[in-house]
Amino acid sequence: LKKLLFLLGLFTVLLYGYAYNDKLLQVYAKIIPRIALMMHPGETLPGNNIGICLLYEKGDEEGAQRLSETIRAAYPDGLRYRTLALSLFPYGEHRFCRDSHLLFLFDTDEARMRKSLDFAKAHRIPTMSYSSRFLDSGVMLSLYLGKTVRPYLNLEAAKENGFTPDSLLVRISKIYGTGGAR
Amino acid sequence: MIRNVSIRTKVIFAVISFNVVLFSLLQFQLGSKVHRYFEQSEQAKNTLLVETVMPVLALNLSFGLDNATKDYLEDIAAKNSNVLSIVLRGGDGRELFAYSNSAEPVREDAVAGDTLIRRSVTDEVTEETIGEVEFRFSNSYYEEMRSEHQAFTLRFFFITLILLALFITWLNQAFAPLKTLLEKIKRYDPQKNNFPFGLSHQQNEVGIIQDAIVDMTGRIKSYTSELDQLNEHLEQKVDERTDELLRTNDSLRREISERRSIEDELKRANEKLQQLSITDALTSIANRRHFNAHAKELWSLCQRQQLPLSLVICDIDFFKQVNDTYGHLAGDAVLVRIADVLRSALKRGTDVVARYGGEEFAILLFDQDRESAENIVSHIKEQLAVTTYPEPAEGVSGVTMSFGLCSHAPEKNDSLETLIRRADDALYEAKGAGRDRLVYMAYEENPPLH
Repeated sequence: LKKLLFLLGLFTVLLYGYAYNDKLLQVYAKIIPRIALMMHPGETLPGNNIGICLLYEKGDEEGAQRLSETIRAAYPDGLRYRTLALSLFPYGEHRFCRDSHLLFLFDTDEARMRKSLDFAKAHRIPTMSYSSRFLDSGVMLSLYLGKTVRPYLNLEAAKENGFTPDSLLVRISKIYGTGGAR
Repeated sequence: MIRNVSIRTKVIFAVISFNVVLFSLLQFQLGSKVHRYFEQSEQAKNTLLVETVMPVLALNLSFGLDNATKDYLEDIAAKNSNVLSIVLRGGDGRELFAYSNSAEPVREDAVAGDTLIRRSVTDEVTEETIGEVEFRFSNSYYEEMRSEHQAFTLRFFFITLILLALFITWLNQAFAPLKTLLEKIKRYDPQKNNFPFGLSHQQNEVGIIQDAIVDMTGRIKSYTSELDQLNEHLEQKVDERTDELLRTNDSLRREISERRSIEDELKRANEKLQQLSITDALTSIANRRHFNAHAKELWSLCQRQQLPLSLVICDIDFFKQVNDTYGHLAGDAVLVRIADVLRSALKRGTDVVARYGGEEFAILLFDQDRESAENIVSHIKEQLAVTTYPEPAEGVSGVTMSFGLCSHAPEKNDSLETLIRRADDALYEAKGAGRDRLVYMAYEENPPLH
């Protein structure tokens, strides 16, 4: 029975790990650096890089790696004269993401997500999750997967955390509110 | 000339003119301003649309959200009816999206009358050109507007015509009472006082005019009556005066006629008196007084013109014996007959024969010298030789005459008396030389004594 449970767990973990869609990851890779900039309109980011921190569960490490590589591939020369500083940490080590300009959150449980969000709020870091269900928890951005794929913006959460997203971003995004999607 | 145009025509003309001017103003307003503003507005709207779309498009492209881009552009095309087509190309020139609102394929070039706006899509973050988008807008709105305007124009004319027809009908009805009134006024005869209307008691224009005319006809009637009376009286007066004038005229005419008759008689009497005053009563030739006056005139004339004047004084030989033998009546008959012979011997009006004394005659011959005078005397003597005498002198025969002649072309200091004296002297000499002859004596102031 233990063996069976192990295999089932392993399968679930493997299945979980492969649950990240490549196409979606490519979309994320394309928009993440840009959104990192667009969440700070009118601000001059310190340093000469764009810091992006990816938090993942241990089973999603590969997915995180793939996203990181895809981002680098999409922006090999960085963006707007800035290099991309990509860092990957498992949940629980989010303290290393203190200087990031965007915190990308892979799927996790609610408690870890909450801690990460509290951390982001404390350090005024915009958050983006792979799954849009975490918008309910206070994640600022995700992707809306409807007829078309669009940014999914939790405007209330962004404002609550002191961010005023770029107006163009607001315009092209689907706005998420406490009353449901808009 | 414009005064002769009726008010109705003027009103209709004014309405038509007003409509034409109003319509022309509308046309001008629409043609020159509204169309231009509308076109500018459309262009501005199209440009604004493109400028609004471009950043979103750029962001979507930079995000790689192709479906969102298509969705967005389709939404734009759906909400803007004048968008004919949208073509989006990537940075590599590959067509990412193409939209057309018709079955026709998307055109590369701009169709005449349409507006083509082409823009490069620039990534705002990297400032790189990441694509190109092309919008084609239809300008059919302009044609639609023109078509609507033409339809409006037709409707406007149609409605104007109907309104004008209604207006003319109404105007005819409004003028009908005035027309009737006018006809009655034309037929109005002050003598008959046949104006058929009374006071209208209406306050409109026709009523006011009718009341005024009724009032006027009343006054005309009163004045006509007075005029008739005056006229009758005047006619009587005129008749009376005319009769009086006719009578006076007749009286005057008679008076004038009588006066004329008296004047004629007076004239005749005067003429007779004048004739008598210069004529010898017995022989009816000029008397001595006339001879003297005529001699002075001829003498002056000859003096001025240096012409000869001849004077013959003649006397009947032995006339006393005739009187004694046959009586004075016979003597008078002889005088009358000899006067006729002398008168008939003179052929010119300027020559005069006059009874100079009892049986003495004088003959003045103007512009005749001695020779001519002697010829005339010779002719007289010949006539005397064959002359017979009337009763009671029928027994008288062989009566002769003695003649004294003086001819002279008078000069300034010469005198008529000398001429007469020299002719008289010549007669005296002819008598002394045995009678029945002519003696000539030249004009001399102081002739030698014989």
